[in-house]
Amino acid sequence: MNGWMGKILRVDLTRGEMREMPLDRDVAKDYIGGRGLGIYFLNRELDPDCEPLAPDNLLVMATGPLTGTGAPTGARYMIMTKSPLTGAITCSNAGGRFPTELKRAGFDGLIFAGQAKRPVYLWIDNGQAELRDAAHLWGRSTHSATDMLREETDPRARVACIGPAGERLVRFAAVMNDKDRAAGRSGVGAVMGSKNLKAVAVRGRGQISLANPERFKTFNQEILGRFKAANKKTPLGLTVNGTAGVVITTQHLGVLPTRNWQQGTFEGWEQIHGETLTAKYLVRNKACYACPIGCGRITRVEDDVFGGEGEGPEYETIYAMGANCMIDNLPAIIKANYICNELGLDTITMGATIACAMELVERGYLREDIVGRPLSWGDAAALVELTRQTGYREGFGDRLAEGSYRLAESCGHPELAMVSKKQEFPGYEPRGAQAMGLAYATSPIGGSHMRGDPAYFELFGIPERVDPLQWQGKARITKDFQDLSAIIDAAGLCIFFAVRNLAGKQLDVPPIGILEYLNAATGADYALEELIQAGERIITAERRFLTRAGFSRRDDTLPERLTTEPLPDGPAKGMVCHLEAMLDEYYREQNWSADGIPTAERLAQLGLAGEKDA
Amino acid sequence: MIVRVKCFAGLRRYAPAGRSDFKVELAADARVGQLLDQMGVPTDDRTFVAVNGVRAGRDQPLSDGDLVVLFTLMEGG
Ligand code: SF4
Repeated sequence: MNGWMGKILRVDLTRGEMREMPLDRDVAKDYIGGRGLGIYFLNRELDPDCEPLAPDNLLVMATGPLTGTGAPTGARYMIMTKSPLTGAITCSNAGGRFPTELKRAGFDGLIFAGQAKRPVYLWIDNGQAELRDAAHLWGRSTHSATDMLREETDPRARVACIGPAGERLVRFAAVMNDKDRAAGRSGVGAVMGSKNLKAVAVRGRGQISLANPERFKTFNQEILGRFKAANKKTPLGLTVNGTAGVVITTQHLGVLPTRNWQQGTFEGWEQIHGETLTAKYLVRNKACYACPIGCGRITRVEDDVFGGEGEGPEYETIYAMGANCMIDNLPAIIKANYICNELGLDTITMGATIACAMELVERGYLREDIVGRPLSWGDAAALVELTRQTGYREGFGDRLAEGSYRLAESCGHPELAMVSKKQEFPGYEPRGAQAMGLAYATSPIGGSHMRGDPAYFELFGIPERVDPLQWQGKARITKDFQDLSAIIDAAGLCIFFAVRNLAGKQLDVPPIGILEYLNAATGADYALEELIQAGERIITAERRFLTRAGFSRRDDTLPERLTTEPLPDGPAKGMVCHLEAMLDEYYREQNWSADGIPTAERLAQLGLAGEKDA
Repeated sequence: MIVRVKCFAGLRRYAPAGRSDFKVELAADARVGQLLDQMGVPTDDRTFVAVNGVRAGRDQPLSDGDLVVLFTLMEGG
């Protein structure tokens, strides 16, 4: 095969057995790869009712057909499993170098089933796979485990692993690859931990063959040429300030979630803004494989208390640990980010859970003696200490390790958890960006923007600006962006490049550039409609899994705070999020029932009614 | 009248060399549009102007001591 490697490795951890499975050509075309292949395998093999941390859960790591091909930002892979945080699926995505190495080692993806009796790691040396004892790595930070693995396998191996948080089944533990890239969300690291799988180390020397290398090269030069020309005069904000440069936008549009989502603006925004990060702490930027943007941040902080060196923070980390906790101390946020990377924690859920705890304390629903320390808004030292405790499930960290929903519920106030499907939101306030609320409520993983990001059209004006406060007519655009995201995620690309450079400039964002890359790489000869339909197939296949796991419209919700309490400040002052009206429209656009269940007609249209998905 | 101006992101290059936070002297009845023209800042869909924290159009009147923040809407996250 071209683009695809044509092979999946299935690892039965209970028996310690491995089997190579050919990747079916039609399945590959219909589901593209990455996120698409992930849901294909989950629908086929996983009982939707399974307990996420029990051995019968499956964990899929899947690259896309453009991963490692040299297509810009073709660097990514997806981890899909049933989430211990939400009970729905995960779609945790990361770039770096590991995914490309996995393909060069000969595999499109890995499926892990069962549970090893003792800690193990998977070592793949150019197509040869072996399960090895990981007793000596258990308990190690992600950085130290990675260093040790490279020493004992191959100095050029690429590693994806969990840290102490994954081992201790923290419900939002991440899988870290190349040390600091995170498949962060929904607790994929806890699932790895439950399987006693510490790490995957890969070395690949193979080639990824392309169906039409000439066509690929010509198009690649054209796209990169256009990208470079467009950013010559003013370098792209993402390159200069990373995603952290978004703070100024969300602050001024009144959608920077502050004080556990009680406000939409933060007085201390300038101290945590990306330009402050660049001026004071940036060492250099860092790019994933084949990425011309390089939004990654290598930072160093010289400070007696919060000093250190590492990677981060991203905008989402700054919102969650900064504004949301009323913390304007950037060194503390950076320090907490480093701890999350080393212990293997999702920074969004970590920050949002601490913010929730702060509100619980403020309202007298949680006593500080239970927290074990004072905990008030803006407490930078508490952020750092509680993050560390959570990674080890030490003291009150054991409660935080359950995420904000379970914490707030145990205090009798689940309404104070700012979540959809029990997963914490990223940093865009839906009262001031209505479609964002719809995206959060309908995302298959709960609170997330990366599964269809309305911030592009509501906040950033890409491909054009759509009034963020308006809710009528938003369902269609949101659906189109969700379909586009599914295609990007399945192809192995990064949203930050693809939305701007590989989609049409119309509001329905046709994936024209991705189409050309895919056809040149795979020779699968997609028509544009077929590719768009593949995106729709992925979204509805995910929905189907959720439906079978018991999810429906009653789970497509936002906290009451966002739908009933008018935002008290900023440009969106007085607004609530009009979710119900948008939901009706959205299900109609999807051809799902009014209860959010895909109709038989829709399943048939997308080829999902057949036996293989039953 | 004198207003305080802060330029961020891509609009920093319209600020006096090396400074992002500076003062600009304007006619007593000046509006946002005049400030932008005087500085040479192009206005398009993605140029954001906030006066004292609130988004403002070209027609918004300015007063002595106002804080004007200028930046380009930026994606990421
Ligand atoms: S834009 Fe950032 S996250 Fe995306 S591929 Fe490039 S460096 Fe990685």
